[in-house]
Amino acid sequence: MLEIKNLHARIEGEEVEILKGINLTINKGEKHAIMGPNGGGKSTLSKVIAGHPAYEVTDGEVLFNGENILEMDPEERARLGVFLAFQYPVEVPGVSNATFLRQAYNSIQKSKGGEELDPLEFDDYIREQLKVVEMDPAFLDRAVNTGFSGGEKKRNEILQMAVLQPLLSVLDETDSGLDIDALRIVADGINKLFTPEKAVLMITHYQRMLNYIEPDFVHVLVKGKIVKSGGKELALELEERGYDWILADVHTNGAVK
Amino acid sequence: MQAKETLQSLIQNHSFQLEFLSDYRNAALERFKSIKFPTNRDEEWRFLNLKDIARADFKLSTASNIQVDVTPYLLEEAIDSTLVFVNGFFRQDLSRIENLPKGACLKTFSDAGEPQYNELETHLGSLIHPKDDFFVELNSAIVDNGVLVFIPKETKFESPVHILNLVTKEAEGAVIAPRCVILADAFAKATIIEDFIGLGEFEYLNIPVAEIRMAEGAHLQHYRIQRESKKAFHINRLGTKVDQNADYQSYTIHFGAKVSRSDVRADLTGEQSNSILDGLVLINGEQESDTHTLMHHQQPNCTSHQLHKVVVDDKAHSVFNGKIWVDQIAQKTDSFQENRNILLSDNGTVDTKPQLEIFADDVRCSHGATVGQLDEEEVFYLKSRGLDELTSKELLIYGYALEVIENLEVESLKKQLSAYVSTYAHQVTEHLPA
Repeated sequence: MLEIKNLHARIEGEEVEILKGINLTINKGEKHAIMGPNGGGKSTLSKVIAGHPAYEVTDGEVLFNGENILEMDPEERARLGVFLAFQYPVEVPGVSNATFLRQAYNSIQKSKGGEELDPLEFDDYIREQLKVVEMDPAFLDRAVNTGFSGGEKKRNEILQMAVLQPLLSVLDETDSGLDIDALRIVADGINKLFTPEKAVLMITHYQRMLNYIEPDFVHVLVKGKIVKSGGKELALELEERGYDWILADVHTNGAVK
Repeated sequence: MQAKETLQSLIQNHSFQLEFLSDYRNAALERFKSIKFPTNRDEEWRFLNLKDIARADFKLSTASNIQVDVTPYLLEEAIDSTLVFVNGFFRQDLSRIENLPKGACLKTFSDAGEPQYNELETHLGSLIHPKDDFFVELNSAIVDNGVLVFIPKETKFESPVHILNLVTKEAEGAVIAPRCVILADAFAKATIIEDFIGLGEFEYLNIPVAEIRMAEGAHLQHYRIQRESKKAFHINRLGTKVDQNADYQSYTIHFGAKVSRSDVRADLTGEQSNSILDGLVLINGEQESDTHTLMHHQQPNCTSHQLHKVVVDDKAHSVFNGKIWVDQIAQKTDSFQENRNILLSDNGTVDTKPQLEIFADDVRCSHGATVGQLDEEEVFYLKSRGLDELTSKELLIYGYALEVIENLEVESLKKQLSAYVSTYAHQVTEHLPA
């Protein structure tokens, strides 16, 4: 589904590369986790996949179902089925969640030639999706993320994922800022939305999210490169031993400058 | 403006309706004679383009009984408390005032009756500063049948009051001078909407003046909605006195007029009073809109809030000059002021000048101004959900403006204004580079 080949990227206008040759393949039906110390490029990778304009790709390819998406606008990627759950969801005052979600849903439906929903039809549809993240319908009338607690914002991201039904969901530190109960609800929601036709890429610092959503593959991203990949047991090992042993390993072998 | 002598002789030969205001008018006319038409050399008028007003020859508006369909502008919540003025003249046939609380007054000056004339003469002009302003004195020199609102002690107006000022094509080229005096007695509560609407695209000069006196513990929501003709000139002035524990919440919305100017002054004259002076300005084309405010903290422990939001497109020009003045005695003042501007075009202009003058030493005051484009992170967020660039920007502009509208507590008005905001947002994003 997603093939990242030798991806290099930097912040537009800056010299230093943040991503220095990422290679990663995600097939449908797979759940991947990317872990790694701060500043390694995890969030950058997620934003580059989603098409954030602040980043410039200097080399490499990102193929989504065989199509290079790097030249596409974020909305085109979204319409193909790429979704990014933001680490820091943006507040949009004055625009109700319901209006926003319906417009987003309809724009994606339209591009697929699917059926667009009017406000009443959409209301029925979204009430079902609310249950996925156990959200109160009152959230629909509130302005997007405005005045939401950290946990509410993260839940709202997963609600959007439920509504838009993407093929690939990139979850950027969706677990951060969540208490135990909220984490369980959010993780349950993500699991419920998963099908063999879909894929998930989780970016996280902690094992705790992976206790709920079991990854098939775990990758360690350090200084712009994936330096180690393994199964779910790698996450447990990282939890136990931290990153130092990997960093030491990397330095001795000269994998990262 | 034509030679002032011509205007003066028009005024001197005009037959006014209300005889009892003739002294007041004449005194104002005398003062008016000695005032020069303002220019950009006057600090108070530095940024606003007054040339088009200077060039025009205005006549005085005259009464007529033309048919006007007011239904599109009526607010269902205010259906029993609506006063309609057409071209500055009260229209009994279009107005409706029913079920007012006992002792309350919601009348035109002419209907107020003898006992209230004295009251009126006491208050008229008492809260307007400076007195030597060209447009204020012009209003006073031709003031006729305005509105007097009196909310008695511990009384609440259940329905909002809607003062609808409509201007029709018959008033093309005319000066219109609405006047409003609002007196809220102790612990009174009301919502007052002053609504200025031009029915078509033609030139006129509207110069409304309003004065509000709030006694201890009174609560007022005051909305001033300016949706004049896009060729009109609108220059309004408002003065409010807020006594102890009183709460004055003012929302000024400017959508229309070719040139508009709003001067708002709130005097916090009693301890623990609160004042909000929020504003929203949406302009494009060659519109110019200038807002001057003064929040004057004269007593300790008062709070004030001012959020003035502006969107400028095309060659439009916005001016904001907001002053917070804190007297030495006004300790523990807590005051917030922010002017936020979104500039969508290369040819638009924003002038902003937030000012603090603090003479007390134990206060919390913040002020600031921003001018910028739409936030890139916000645009990316919406686009990442499948919305295209223009739809994302349209939604963000809509939301930005609606944040002010949402504070209004009259649903049908909110609906009318939201519809306008939506049209505006669509219009200004249509030609943005995608």
